Amino acid sequence: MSRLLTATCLVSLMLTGCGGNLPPGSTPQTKIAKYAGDVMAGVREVQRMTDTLERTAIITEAQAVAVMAISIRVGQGGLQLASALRVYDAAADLAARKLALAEVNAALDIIDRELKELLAPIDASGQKAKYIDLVTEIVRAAWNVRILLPAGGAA
Amino acid sequence: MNGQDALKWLDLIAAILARTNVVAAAAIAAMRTLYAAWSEAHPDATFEDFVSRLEAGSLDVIGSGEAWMALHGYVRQSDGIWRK
Repeated sequence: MSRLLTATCLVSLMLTGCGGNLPPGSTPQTKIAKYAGDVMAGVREVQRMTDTLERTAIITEAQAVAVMAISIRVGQGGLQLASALRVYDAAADLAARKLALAEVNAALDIIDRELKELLAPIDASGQKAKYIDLVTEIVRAAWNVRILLPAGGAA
Repeated sequence: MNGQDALKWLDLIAAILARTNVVAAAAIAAMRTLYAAWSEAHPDATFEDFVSRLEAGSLDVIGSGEAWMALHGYVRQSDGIWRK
């Protein structure tokens, strides 16, 4: 039953995609902000799930502490990204935009790295697989953020 | 199998089912929220709307994480590590 449930959840996520609908002509930075906001909502759910797993002794307190510490760093990366996106969006010319893009990239690097670390404290045994599935989906959603970023900074 | 053995097995099965129910409910709630967030349309939202939501979401994650740590007696040290 648990496999069926996990498969159903994953298929539903794949079918709906991670983007939702955005108005035509949305700028890449608008989409980045939306997707990154969705990632933060996912990380908040990871925190809730971690709390539940720790209270029911399915994971240890040390594992939960590791997950919470990482999630806080993801949140800090989110704040840094929001700030960098504002600078990027307001940049007047290509040179300024390229400088701002470096800041956006740095913030995305933090979020990417920390999201990957979220998997480390929890092993893949038994029912913890559902947690792994959730985090994997969030990491996949974070990739949606990354692929929107223009390589040359001329969005 | 005698009656005592059967009771032990039934207790074990009940415990496994109880755990499965807790995790399954949490997983469904999490997936539901993600589904809602990812499939929701925002036809009128602007860049500023989304970046404000990103900020609010980030602050929520930071606040909830720090509150959980504090509730469990952890304090962030000067080196950034959380310790009791």
